[in-house]
Amino acid sequence: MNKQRLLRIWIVAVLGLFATGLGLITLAPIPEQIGQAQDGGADEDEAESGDPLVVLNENNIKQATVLIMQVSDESGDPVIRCVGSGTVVTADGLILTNAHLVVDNQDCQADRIVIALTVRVDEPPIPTYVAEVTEISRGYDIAILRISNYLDGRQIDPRTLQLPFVELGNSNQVQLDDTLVVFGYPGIANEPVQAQLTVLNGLTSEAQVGERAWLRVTPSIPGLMSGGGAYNRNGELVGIPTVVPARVAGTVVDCRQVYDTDGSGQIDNNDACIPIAGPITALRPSRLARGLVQAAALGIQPGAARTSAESALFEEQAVFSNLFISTAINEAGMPANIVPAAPTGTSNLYLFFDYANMRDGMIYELRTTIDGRPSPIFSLPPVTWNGGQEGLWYIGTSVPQWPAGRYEFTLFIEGRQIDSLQFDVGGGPPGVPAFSDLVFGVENATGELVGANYVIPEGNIIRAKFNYRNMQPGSTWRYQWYLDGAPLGGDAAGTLTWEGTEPQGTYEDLAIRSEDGFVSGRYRLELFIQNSETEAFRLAALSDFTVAGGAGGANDAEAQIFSNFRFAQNERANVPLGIVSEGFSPGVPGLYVFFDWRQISPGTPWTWRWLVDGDVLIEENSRWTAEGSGQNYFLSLQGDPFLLDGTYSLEIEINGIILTEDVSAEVGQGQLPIEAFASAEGIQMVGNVTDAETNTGVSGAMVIVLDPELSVEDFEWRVSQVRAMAQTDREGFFQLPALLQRGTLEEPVLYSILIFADGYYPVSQDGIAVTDRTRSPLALEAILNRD
Amino acid sequence: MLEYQLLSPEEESGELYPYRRVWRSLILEMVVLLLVAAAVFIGVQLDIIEDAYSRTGNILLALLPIGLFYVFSVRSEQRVAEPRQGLLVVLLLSVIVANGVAWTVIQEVFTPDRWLVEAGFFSRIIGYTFTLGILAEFCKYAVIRYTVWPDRFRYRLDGVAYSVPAALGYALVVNLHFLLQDEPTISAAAIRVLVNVYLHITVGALMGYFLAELLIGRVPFFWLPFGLFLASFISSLFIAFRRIAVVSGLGSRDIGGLLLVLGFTVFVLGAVAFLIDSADERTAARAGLRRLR
Amino acid sequence: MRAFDRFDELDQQSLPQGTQVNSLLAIATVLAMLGLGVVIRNNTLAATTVYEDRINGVTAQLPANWLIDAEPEDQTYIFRATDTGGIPFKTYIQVSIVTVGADANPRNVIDALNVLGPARLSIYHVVSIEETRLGDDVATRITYFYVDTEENPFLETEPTVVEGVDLVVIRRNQALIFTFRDAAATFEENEFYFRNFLETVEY
Repeated sequence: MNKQRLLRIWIVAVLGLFATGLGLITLAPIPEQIGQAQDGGADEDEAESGDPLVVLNENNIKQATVLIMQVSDESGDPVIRCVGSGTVVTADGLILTNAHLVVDNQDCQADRIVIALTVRVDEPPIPTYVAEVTEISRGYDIAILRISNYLDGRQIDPRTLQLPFVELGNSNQVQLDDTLVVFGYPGIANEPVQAQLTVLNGLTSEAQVGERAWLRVTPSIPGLMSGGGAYNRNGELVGIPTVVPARVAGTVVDCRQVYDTDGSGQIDNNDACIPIAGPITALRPSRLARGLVQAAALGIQPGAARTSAESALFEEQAVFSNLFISTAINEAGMPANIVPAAPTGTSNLYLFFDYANMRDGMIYELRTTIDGRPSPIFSLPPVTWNGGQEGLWYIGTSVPQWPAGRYEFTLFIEGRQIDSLQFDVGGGPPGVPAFSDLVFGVENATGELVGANYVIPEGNIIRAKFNYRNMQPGSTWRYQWYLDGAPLGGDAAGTLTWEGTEPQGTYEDLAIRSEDGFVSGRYRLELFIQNSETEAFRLAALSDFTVAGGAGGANDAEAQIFSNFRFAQNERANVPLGIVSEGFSPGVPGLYVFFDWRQISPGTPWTWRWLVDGDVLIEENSRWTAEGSGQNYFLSLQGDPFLLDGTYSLEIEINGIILTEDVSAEVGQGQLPIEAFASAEGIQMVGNVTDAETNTGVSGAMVIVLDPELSVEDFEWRVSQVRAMAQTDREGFFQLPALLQRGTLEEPVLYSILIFADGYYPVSQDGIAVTDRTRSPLALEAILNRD
Repeated sequence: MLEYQLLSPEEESGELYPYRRVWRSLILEMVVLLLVAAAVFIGVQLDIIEDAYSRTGNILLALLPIGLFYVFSVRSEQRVAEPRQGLLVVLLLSVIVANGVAWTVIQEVFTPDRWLVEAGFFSRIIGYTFTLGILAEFCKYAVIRYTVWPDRFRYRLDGVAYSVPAALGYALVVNLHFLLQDEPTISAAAIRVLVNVYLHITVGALMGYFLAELLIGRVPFFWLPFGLFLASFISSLFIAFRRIAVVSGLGSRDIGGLLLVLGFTVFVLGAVAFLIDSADERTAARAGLRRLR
Repeated sequence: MRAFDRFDELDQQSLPQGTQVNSLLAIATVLAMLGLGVVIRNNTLAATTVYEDRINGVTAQLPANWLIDAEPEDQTYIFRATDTGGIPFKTYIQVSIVTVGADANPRNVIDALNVLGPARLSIYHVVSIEETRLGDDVATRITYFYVDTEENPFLETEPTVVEGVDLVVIRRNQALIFTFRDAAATFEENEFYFRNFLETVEY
């Protein structure tokens, strides 16, 4: 009887316990699963509040955003000369920023670049490293730095770095009205990194870059955030906020003295100051940086090129002139038309102007007013000039619709007002006579115009054709040909009466002839139409073209300028040295490409670009400086310490026409190693190890991630089985010193993790999936229990 | 059957009972402690209580089992005809021995954090049995053995009655060291206090049975050594299973230890109660006496 | 029938015999168990696994469950065993080999290490250099301290004072350097790992 009673009590107690357990399990929080929890959390946010403006790992971006300081020593003490922002784009320490922030210039005479990192996102950055410029494009105002030393001078092995980094996004996919978040440092090393929401409300095109040369945003961003990053809703870097400090008569407009550099005992105007740029409304798109980042990751730099006589220094003042507006540009960057006014609904307008006596590195600016009110979006803030000495330039802006009103475009060089143009937008389509789409060619044996481009081989006849609209029979028009800026005489100029009867069509009969043949050089054709009422001639069409090379190709219409391409490992006295081949063994330190050229006028703009496995890495717009014809011009690439296996190709372009065909050489396997971009293509793993009972971080815990093919059971305490391991800091935070390889959704890469700490139960988990959708950094939360 | 019942003598209602009912007091103390721990845990889950470290709160939690023991056992003891003497002395001595001897030996000699935590399941059982387990059981045993045993032992349940203050004293020391040194949150502290108190009471009760049986029953010469080993081994089993209960992948099951100790307590205390009951029955049958409950 | 009964009212003859023996035996058992416990603890802490580096001809007993790195990226050692659970410093034993001339003695190598120390280690400070023996071989032992700092700027890790021992023996034209490093606070407590290692190492 008693035993039965005891048994009953026991059974009731066990059942009660079971019920209690179920209840408590329901109440207890479920241990967070890594990876999935992170993604799930984001989805949940989206579900709750609709599409978020921006989905990004803000802390990661903030930690990847660095403060860049140019520093020099004054009386043994370091002095900050210039500051700006930058962004870490690979785990091993490549930093993307503005070129003007890192080059030694008149505003910023420094001897080293110091990188300050945001360790805690709500605190100012901490100077930590010294960096060196590894790639630079002054034209794009983009530079890539590589962290090279600690502040105490010790060198850093990049392989040991594992910095938070961001990935570059596709800036071509950014649409008007998209929200972007800009990260950077608004203060001179005294403020934490900030994020500012902006909206993309315009696209600015520019000569030598083309469409989408600038992404235009409002509201404006503090100038010191120049060089930072603008991110799309996926947390990808799509733009680099860019502005240079404005100057007037060579003096920086806004400058802050923070050091007593002259030793006067007080800080005053005699002390060196830190230039401050004005508000930023323009972003350089990330596509312009992608090649440079890849080149830096591969350790490739443009090497020596054939040196030529420097063009003579000139003292004349830089000028802009001949301002006009076009509504479209062609592939050569020439105006498709010239319009005196634009109707309501116009979305694209391009301000063209001639420039002369310019020097690369100068600062130019466009200020635009609409009915007298400043309009930042149609202006271009002070940016660096890289167009060479003279030529035709344009700045275009694409918006959904240009507001109606009277526009005044004013151009500045170094803060000095140069020229301006008034232009009306509004009303209906103008019915005025117009010429458009000027294009050039040569004449074939039957007297027809053949070829249609902007690079014409040397010959005796140059033909031009253009479209016309609203032309009335009997109206007067005029043409003028130019060579290197000077009007040509003879039949190069003339006034004609329009004889056509159709109101619109194509005119092909304009030609210029020379019995001696046209010499190579930069030519221009201008067309004018007379206003029947005022009898004044109005510029109606204009286009530059280049005459260079000999005739070749179909109908002898193609210019043959560059030929006899050869690759070599080195050069001496402008002659290939070593193996001349199209295939090289692995480990060559550099690659030289030699070629011959003919009939190209010095000063002709040309562009060369290096491609590796088909991707453009390095591109430069330049002016031809060698003599008209010759042999063994060379360009080169250098590897650090050697060129990786791959197919290296060279392209040369003049006036938008690519003049090379399949100029390439293979190094080693002819294909980049899979791990070539490993420092930017894996995901980082960070995390916290927390004490279950104190909710505080566990310091000194060891986190071990095994190679993907291994499970915890396979672990035999060999480092050879370990993908990466890290130790937690005093807050329990850790960061793996190696990136984890991504898989796909179908075939994720599965990792196993073990965590140890003295006094705590070891924990482990298999099957942590890393896919191409896994966001970096992958945040891991581990909870340890004491005995 | 009905007639038989009518013919049977009626049970005496309000039976005169000179001693405190040990099981009732113990169950009350443990249930109240469980309710408090559950209230704290649920309060934290529902965000009624902030789950942070509170020195005062943790000390109160550590002292709560002592308070419950005083209310439900010591005070009750004073109201019965033949109270058990020396309960508080046992408690106090247990605190002193636990803190002065056991804790010192654990920290200075055994240093379990360096080797026992990471050991595998069976290694943990063996390692704990021969170090921390046997040390704890011996301390609790020694306090009773050299104070109230055998003079104050009259019934088998006295073994349980005196083992409780010995266990509470030991658990108090362990809890205070943990709560004040490691600074756990209030919910973790509540669970940890409950786990330690239940574990030591449960295993202590088993040891109490062995002590009582040594005095009262017919036992072999290795009875006490066997009891100490068994108590140590059983507590080691709990410690080994606790790791399985609380660790979940890279996470932690907060209530895993709580559920485990509840099951462990029900099982072991049930077994002890069964053993005592059976032994009492055997003794009563042998002597032809009516058995006390 | 009485309502209740007391066991102490039972016949004293029914009391168990030999309680004294039981008590003494309990003490003896507990002492034996505790002694065994200490042995188990020590054996567990000193448990080793055999590691054999055939290429370099070094065999040793390394602490069990220490992480063995036999493929260092920078080739500065031939293998290293690390206690992954150590806080704040991951204690390790390391073996490295440097090529030396025919006339070199351990002291020459120690001097070289001493010169390199400040360049490799922060606040490197030597406390003793002494001649000793490893088995039948002459050896030189250098004891030093340095400060171990975390170089990842995103980690808030406090610097740790580390005590290190390098023991050098010459094997033909090679110097073997046996290194043990641990947080200075726990060095003495853990030094037995290194002693056990030196007692078992064959080269």
